[in-house]
This record gives sequence, C-alpha cells and structure tokens, in this order.
Amino acid sequence: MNERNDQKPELQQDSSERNSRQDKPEAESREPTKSSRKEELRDEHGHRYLSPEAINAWRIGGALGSLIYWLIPLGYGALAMGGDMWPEWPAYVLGVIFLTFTMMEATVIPWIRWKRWRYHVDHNEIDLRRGLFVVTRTLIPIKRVQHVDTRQGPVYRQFGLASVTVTTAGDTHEIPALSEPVADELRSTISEYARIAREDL
Amino acid sequence: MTFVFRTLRELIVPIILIFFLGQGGNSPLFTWWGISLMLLVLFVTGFVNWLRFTWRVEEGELRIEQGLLVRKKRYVPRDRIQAIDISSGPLQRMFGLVRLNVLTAGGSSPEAQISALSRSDAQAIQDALQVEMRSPDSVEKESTWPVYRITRKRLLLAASTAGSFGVALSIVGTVMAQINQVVSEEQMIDFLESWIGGTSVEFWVTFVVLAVLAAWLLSLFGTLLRFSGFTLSRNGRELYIRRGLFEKKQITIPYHRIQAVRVVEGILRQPFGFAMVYVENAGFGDEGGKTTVVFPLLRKRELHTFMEEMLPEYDVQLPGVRPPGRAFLRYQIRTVVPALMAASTLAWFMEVYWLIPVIFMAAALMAYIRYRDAAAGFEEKNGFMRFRRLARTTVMFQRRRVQSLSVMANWFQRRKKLCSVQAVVASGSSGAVFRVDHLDESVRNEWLGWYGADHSVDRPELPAGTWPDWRADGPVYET
Repeated sequence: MNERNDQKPELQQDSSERNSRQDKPEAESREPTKSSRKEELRDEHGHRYLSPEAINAWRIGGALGSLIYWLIPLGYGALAMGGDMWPEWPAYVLGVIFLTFTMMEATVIPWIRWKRWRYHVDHNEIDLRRGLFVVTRTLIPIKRVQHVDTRQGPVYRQFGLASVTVTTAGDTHEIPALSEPVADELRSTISEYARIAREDL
Repeated sequence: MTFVFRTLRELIVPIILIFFLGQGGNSPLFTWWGISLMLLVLFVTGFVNWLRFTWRVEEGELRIEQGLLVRKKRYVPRDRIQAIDISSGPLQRMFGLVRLNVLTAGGSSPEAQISALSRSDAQAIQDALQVEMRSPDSVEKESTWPVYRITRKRLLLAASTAGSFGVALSIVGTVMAQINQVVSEEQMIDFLESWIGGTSVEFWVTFVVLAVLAAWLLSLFGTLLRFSGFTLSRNGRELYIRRGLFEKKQITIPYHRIQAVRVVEGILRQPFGFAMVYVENAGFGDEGGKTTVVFPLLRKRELHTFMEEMLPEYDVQLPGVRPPGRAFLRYQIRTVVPALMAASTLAWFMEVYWLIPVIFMAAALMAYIRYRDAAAGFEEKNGFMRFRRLARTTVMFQRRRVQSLSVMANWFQRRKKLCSVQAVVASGSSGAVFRVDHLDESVRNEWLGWYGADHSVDRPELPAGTWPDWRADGPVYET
C-alpha cells in the first residue's frame, strides 16, 4: 500500500507537468523542439548521437543497477562471518571489484558509451553503431520492421528521455536515451517508412 | 469417448510426478489420494471441455468455439483455408475417428484443429468449404514430386548416433535422485559392491558407464519413436512430413515460410559422413513453427540431390572465407579458458586433478576443429554460415529472409583486426541467431554492403573457397 501512496502523487505531478507544458502557448512549446533539433549532434557521416542527457541518466541508472551485484560480496561476507568454513578475503576482493565497477558506472562508462552510440534512419534501413567493449554495427531493413514502440523508465522520465524499440520477426533492437520529442518523432518516422515499404511490396 | 483418453494421456506426466514426489517421506495414502483427486479433476474438466467444444460451418466459415470460463472462438473464413489435413492416431483409429487440421494461408494466426470427429463429418466439412482435403497417403501417391522415405537401416543408424545426451542424462539424473530417496546411498553402494565386488572408485566408474548407457538407450528409443516411418514429400507449394511410430505426426511447411536451412553434422555422425537437415520456419503451432527436422539422416553426398529436389532455393554454391591464421589463438582462448575454469573447480571439489590436463587437451582439440570449420560467405541473394559448437552446423539463408545483420568486434578482436558476423532470421514466433566468429576485418564491409541498402560498397575479391562443400562429391561440381 505504501508504495502505491508514494507513487500516485508522483504520477499526478508528472501528468500535471505535462499538461502545463501543453497549456503553454504554441510558440513556446515549439521552441524547445526546434532548439533541440539545432543542438542535435551528428558525426562526420551525418549519423545522429543520442541525447547528451543520456550520460547523466545512465550514470544514475547504471550505478543503481550495479548495486544489485553488491549482494554477492555482502551475502558471501555474511556467510563467511557466520562460520569458520570459508575465508573472508574473497568478500573484500569482490567488494573492491564491485566498488570500482559502480564507480566506473557512475563516471566514465556512460560517457564512453554515449560517444560510441550513433544511429541513422532512412527510408531503406536503420543503422545502429554502439558498444563499449564489443563494438557492434547492426543493419535493420525498414521492410523487416514489424512495429516500433517508445519506452520510458523512471530514470528516463526524470531526464525527459525515452527509448525507441524496433521489433522485427526475429529480434528486437533498442535506440536508448533520446529526448522525448526526438523519440516520438523517430517512432512515427520509422513506422511511416515501414508502412510505405510494406505497400511497395 | 476420446476425451477420456486424451485427458488420460495428459495425466500421465502429473501422475508419474506425484508418484515420485510423493515418495519423499509422505504416506502412500497421501499419494493415492492425490492421484485420485487429480484424475477426478482432470476427468471432469476434460468432459466439460468436450461438452463445450462445438464446431459448425456457417456463412462460408468454419466456426470453432471452446472453453468453459473463457470462451474461445475461432472463425476461419473459407478463402483463408489452404487445405485440410486429416489424420488419425492410435486412439482415433480405435474409435474410427479422425483428427482434422485446418491450414491457413499466411502465418499470422495459429491454425485450427478438431481432435476427434467422424469421417462423415470431416467429409461434410470438406464439402461445405470446398477445399482440398488431404490424408497422409494422398499427397505422396498423387504427386509426381520426389518422395524421401527413411529406410530401416538409416533409422537405426540415426537413432544410435542421436546422442541427445543432455536431455537423456538429465532424465537419468532425476531417476537416480528418486532412487536415492527410496533406497539410501549406503544400501545402493552395498548392493552394487556385492554385485560388482569393487571399491568406491569402481562404483563411480560403473555408475557413469551405466548412466551413459541408459542415456544412450533413451535417446535411441526416443529417436526411433520420433522418426519411425519418416516420409518427406512435396508439391509446388509446400513440404509435407509424416513421421512417428505410435502417433503419426504430420507437418506441413509451406515454402514461403521457410527462413533458413540448417545442415547439422553431429559429432557422432560426421565421421561416418552423415548429417541431419532442419529448416527454420516462421509460423505458429507446435510443429508447424520453429526448427523442424526435414530429414533425419542423409549422406553428405546425397545432400546436393536432396536440396535440388526438396529445397531448390537453397541448392546453391557460395564463395566464402574462413578465419585467418591469427584467429586461431582467439578460438583457443574462447574454448580452453572456460573449460579449464570448469575443470579446475570440479577437480578441486572432487580431488581428481588428472581431470585438468585431460579437459585441457579435449578443449584444445575442440577449439582447433571449431577454428577449422568456421566459414561464412554470400553471393547475390544467398548467404551461408558454418560454425560448430559440438555439431558442425551449416546454415543457408536468403538475403530477403534475414531480419537483421550485425557485425561486431570486441577489444581483443579489434587488436587483431578480426570481427564476428551475426544474422537473425525468424523462427517460430521469435528468431534464430547465427554467428561466425573471428573472421578477417575486411568481411565487415562486405557483409554490410551485401545486406545494406547501399550496394555501392567496394567489394574486394574474396579469397577462394566454396561452400557448402558437400557438393564436391555431387554430380555438378564446378571449380
């Protein structure tokens, strides 16, 4: 019950924020979209970067997410303290490793990840480049696209971000951390291209 | 009446489960109560389901309605029906009934099935809908297309080399665990010791040998049951499979739903030059979708003729490349390191240190054949990939069937100018992923150029090599 009570006002606040955004005069509400387009970053091939807000969103999301791994050294530590069976040092080693990991997640990793992420969409295909350790490039022909969604988790919502998910008959691909208007636009662009491509068939 | 038998058949697994689980210290009375209660519940639900199952032909539609609480309606319009399959299992035969399977065009919805109805009713449905009705024999007899039927010798060979040890071993493991509950370990060791007259090491060796033998027998009989009477026929539009010993299964695979062809040379089969052929298949239904065996055992030199006759779109020879020499070390590391980690953990716990060098050698050998067997290539509309986990798998696909293509390189690969290629095709309601590791960096742009919309990508000549290489023995070998 508590959880619900905590969440409800937040939700309401959020929707009221959205409403107030919509309530603003048109010129003003268009302004941010336009400026975000101007600021939109592209690389030398004209491929687009994700929203720069992604870095901070990932720092928070990644650091929070990596806390789950802390259960391993903590659990082991608790077991090792309890009995004499196991040595205690692995708990410290794992602790240091995970601490470093969390620190990295909160600092450099999101930055590098953002720098590596590019996407490009035209009427033929979706082209994704990404990867920190494993650098990957994926092509998805528009003809193969079955549906497109936008998604927004709690952290993304705080930063006004959303991700676009593209589903084919065989797999699903995500373009993460786009600013909300960009994500909405991209979703409708892809589904429009997909519709045209299907009509051509 | 068949509903009784159908529910009985559905019940067998839970009964066995209850029987075994119930042995864990509970009174036998509880077990029997449990079984009777379950029988009763399932009997009643079976009966109600039967009562609530109705079908009729109305306004040119086959209308099937079923379900007690959630009423499920499936209306199949006549022009969406491609064919009606009629078959009969042993139960249906006992009561002179048939099972009716409605095949629809396009793969967007699961097909409709009526599991028991009289032959005259089936005839009535056919007349009302005026669609082609097929029974097992009609397709094979009427068509002038080639038919592949498994011989007894081949079936036996397929069964004895099936080696689906993973599944079989887990079954044996479960059975052993249950035996442990009934008979204590000491009793068993005592029994085995008096029987074999050996020490603890001998006990374990015997145990392992027996377990492997049991697993092998299980997979042997499983394969015999599954593939007995395997018959593959075709017409212009679809492949048609019939198999099974007691229960005859029929599978229809329309050609337009085939996404890729997979030739798998199992580790026990490859030395004898045998392979199994699968297709990846987009669609619904438990047998009509996903990965389906289209022939259980073929000689490698028969494959070319088989492909030409049954899967002509995939009967192509393609240029391809193998990983360069510098990839050898990557293959070694990828196979040996995890194997060594598993081996040393096991050796440490069980104090069998000789296991480490043995597993090291085995892994190094495995890595070598993985390296040697990897290949990938494409030409025009077709592509292929060959890779090995345990069995050597050669996958052939058409460009238009590939859902997405990725080229990736991790830090180690980038340092050695290597990359991996990964293609996804639809399979069932999800996908199948094929991937070849550690190819030369240059294939990156070649594959992206082949698959991508921009075909202007400069394509350097590929080093020689043509795949699939079973055609080397085939009648139309060209250099």
